[in-house]
Amino acid sequence: MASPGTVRISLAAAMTLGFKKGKFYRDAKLGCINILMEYDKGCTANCMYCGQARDIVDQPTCKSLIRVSWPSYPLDKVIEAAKKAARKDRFVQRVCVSALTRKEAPKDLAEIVRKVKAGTGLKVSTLITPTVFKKKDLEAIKKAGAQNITIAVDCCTPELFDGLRGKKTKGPHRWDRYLKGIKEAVEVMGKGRYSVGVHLIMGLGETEEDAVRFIQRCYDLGAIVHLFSFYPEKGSLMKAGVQPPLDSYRRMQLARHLIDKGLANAIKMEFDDGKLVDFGVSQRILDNEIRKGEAFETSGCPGCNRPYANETPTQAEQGLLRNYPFPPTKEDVERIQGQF
Amino acid sequence: MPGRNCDDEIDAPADLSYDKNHMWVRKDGAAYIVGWTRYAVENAGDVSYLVLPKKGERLKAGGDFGSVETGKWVGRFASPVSGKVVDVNVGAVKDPGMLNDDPFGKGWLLKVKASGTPKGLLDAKAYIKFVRSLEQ
Repeated sequence: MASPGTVRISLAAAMTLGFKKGKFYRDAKLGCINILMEYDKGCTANCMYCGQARDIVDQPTCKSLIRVSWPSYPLDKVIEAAKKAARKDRFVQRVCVSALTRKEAPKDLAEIVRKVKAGTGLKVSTLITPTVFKKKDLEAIKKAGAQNITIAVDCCTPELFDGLRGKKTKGPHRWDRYLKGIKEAVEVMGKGRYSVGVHLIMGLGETEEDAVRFIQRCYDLGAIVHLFSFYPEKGSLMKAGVQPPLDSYRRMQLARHLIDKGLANAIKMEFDDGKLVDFGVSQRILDNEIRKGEAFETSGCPGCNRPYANETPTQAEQGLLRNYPFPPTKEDVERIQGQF
Repeated sequence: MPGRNCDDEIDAPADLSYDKNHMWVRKDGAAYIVGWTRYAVENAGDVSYLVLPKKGERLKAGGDFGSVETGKWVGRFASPVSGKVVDVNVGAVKDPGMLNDDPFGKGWLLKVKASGTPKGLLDAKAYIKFVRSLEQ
């Protein structure tokens, strides 16, 4: 089994497409069907926090990624089911195709994008690695019909990047190439908001200042940041890691949101020993943005909400939901206010 | 082996009793074995985590006990009987997939010494009718 003939889809996508039975806590719905390419020999990268890292997955039998299983299906079957699911419920509005780090991935990704676009009519996002995707490949993806290109930088400093997914892990990724990849994606896709995204994971050892400066840098480059909270992946090299403190994650969500809305700039924010202590906006704006709740919803391409990807449903039930997959209720907002 | 029902789609063995919280009950001497029905577990998804009460805890009919987590959902069990927990399926806690694989057998949850005769339970036929009403 290998892409482009077959692909893996997230558990949430498998449930939404009717391939697997299952319920979503609080009746959440999935807005984006997440597809992951697959190859017999797996990913050549070795990111320490990833369930697909080369050192722990030397065979394609490891199906866990971002907490859950990713079953494999023929691409044609996924396309047909996605089309039906979107017709049935307009909440399904996008398909996101994630590439593995393999030299054949660029060509295969373009083919998957073309087929998904033609077969579903839905918006198509891509998650790529600049290690194997060069500028011409990004142009090919755009030509194939992708509306968004997202790059999972994940770590917000070169030191962290190098230590968790670069040279020090004997992985192929390089910080400079990733930063250049963001610029190339912006050049290819244009500076239109939301056409280029950058994944950033909180809880990998960064300070809040590191994260906020990086978020601002991405916006200044013309890309938006999709925020994730580290979750210790079973079997990964960081399986014993801990999630970032919730108060810190809330501050990062709010800072990202304020920058995203053009309400704040990292230059005006203040930090004390790496901790964000002043958002650089009035208390009225802060209170207003917290009250609206949008800052704490999943950030990503429009429609992408990744229900319970960064926490277990039990944590969500305990009020420890990191990325809300739906607009927070009044009660949720009250809880969030108490978490700062 | 539990008795089989005659319904093609909804698995509800005829020798068990049920309640509207999708719990099943099997009389076992002076106690009752309690579990979660196949309909409930299949609709919830693959069970990944299970929390059950300890031996000696007291349950109240209709009251919460324990919790069950699947990939994207979490819920609580409601006890179909009042009484004292006399045994817990530790194997299912260690391997929650048992609930999906064998909900009426190896995937049982608790054994409860009831403080009275359980009330309001349904036979298999009535439970199937109830499930069908939910599907409509």
